[in-house]
Amino acid sequence: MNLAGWIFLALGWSLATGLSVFCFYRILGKPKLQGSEEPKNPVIPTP
Amino acid sequence: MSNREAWASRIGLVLAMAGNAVGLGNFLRFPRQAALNGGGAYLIPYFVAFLALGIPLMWVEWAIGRYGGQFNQSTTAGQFDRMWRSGWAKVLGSLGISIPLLITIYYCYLESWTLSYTFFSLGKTYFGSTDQGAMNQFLRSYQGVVEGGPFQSMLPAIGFWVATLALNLWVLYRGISGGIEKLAKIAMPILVIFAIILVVRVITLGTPDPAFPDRNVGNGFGYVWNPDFSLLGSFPVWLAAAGQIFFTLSIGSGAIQTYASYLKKDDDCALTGLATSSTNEFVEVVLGGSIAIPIAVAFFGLEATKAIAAQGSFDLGFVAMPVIFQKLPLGFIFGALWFSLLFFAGITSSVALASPFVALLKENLGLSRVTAILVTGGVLLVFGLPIILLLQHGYMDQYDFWIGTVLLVVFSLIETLIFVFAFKRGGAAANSGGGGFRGWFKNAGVAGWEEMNRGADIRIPRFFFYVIKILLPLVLAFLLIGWIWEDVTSKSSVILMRGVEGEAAMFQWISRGSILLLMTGIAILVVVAFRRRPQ
Repeated sequence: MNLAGWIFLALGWSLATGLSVFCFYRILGKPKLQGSEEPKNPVIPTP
Repeated sequence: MSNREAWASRIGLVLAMAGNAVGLGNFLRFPRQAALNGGGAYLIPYFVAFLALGIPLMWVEWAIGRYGGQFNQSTTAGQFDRMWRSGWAKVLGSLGISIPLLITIYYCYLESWTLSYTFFSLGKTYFGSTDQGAMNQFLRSYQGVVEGGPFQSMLPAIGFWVATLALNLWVLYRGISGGIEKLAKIAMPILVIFAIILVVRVITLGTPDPAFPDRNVGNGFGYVWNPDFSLLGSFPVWLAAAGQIFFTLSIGSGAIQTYASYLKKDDDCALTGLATSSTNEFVEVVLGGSIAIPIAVAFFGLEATKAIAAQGSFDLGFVAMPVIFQKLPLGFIFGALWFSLLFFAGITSSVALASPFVALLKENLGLSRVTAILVTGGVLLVFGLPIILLLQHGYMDQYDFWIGTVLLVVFSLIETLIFVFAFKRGGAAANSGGGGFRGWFKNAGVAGWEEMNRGADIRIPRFFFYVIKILLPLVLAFLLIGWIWEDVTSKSSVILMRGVEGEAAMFQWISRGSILLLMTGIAILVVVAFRRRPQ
């Protein structure tokens, strides 16, 4: 594998893993389905 | 009070949704697509499609499902009806029941191959078929496509298929939290662990045969990742990347909406939807890209792997891989790990795909759980048997093309247009744009955007509002035209049935007829259900 291949592999793996880690980190902070709880973010105003 | 089912935990929901997305394609289709379409450079159109097509459409589907769930509507038929007060809404929404059911019909057969090959690996049944020609003969004999070979009849294939159907139906019978969620909580971690074991085995292979120093894992990864930027200007490469994102995230089928309908009104869609997409990407890019192609290059060399890749994903998975397992120490165990991980990837997808039909029978037609499961099993048997018996005549190819390619995009386009242009909940936001076309266009998509953001645990960047409203419908229309154009201009066009004659042509027309029959039947069932029981 050439250098560019390694760079793309690193980029692809980092993007896919990083996004998953970010999402699961946030989800594990709030693991329950709330349903009736007030939303953290209010409704986004009309763009 | 509603007594509808619900998800027991958020992690269970994420794993079930990710299980729906992670399928055979993550391990067989992605590495082949990357290798054939520019290696590392393919990741550029791939991630662009992920951002511009995959994630927005995923959010749209989650929002549609959760919105419909507020009115106890588990299928897109009822969900569209709530979003758009038109007689057409539930008829168009019925596609979100028939499309996934049609996919389940042929997908369960492919899934049954992975189950049978798990046992064939453990029992070393295919050991002795040491080259690709012999292994190809083994597979074709199992499928009943060729006379002779190790299988004297199709009974093993039919037996494993029936067992696969039974397992699927059992999970569906157990319900959302007791069946689907439990399956996901067991199957998804096992799948990831098995995949990591296989990746470690591949990485530590080095150069298996010192007589061929070029045949090594490094070159295998190079085939998947070395970028060929000259292909970035190629329209088919962009089309292939968009297609891969479509298939891998399982969007456009109606299954996500059914799963999301079991959320509560203010449960988060944005972060949870993103988590399922990113889990799928991790499994696909990191794990899926590191097994089949790199190991094939290490054992067969680059040129032979290119030839295998050109033949198709299933030759890679069911012909090349078993040959390799026979050359590895403890290969029967690695073979069992490989095929069982494919089976887990398959079953978590097929239960999701069958669930809209089960929901229609149970919730809209009022059938008991047992009756709904028996009816589903009956439909899968009746429509699935010709797929097995007429495989050599291209019967399944018609299903795969019309359902797995064309209708997924058609349905995505329909749901996007309804979500953006027809969905209005009233209120100030919906009426603030003034009259005329300008006002109508300004209001379009606002209700959907608000719905999507309600209860969100992350703030969706506003840029996605415009992506969903303007870019998504255009990209989907473009994709549909592109794929149809690509097919009709190819030498083996499925639409024009080029090169298909005699008996095969007759069977392929019957295949098309069966698709139409099921779609029409479900549309009629939906209309009847909504007339009989006011929803």
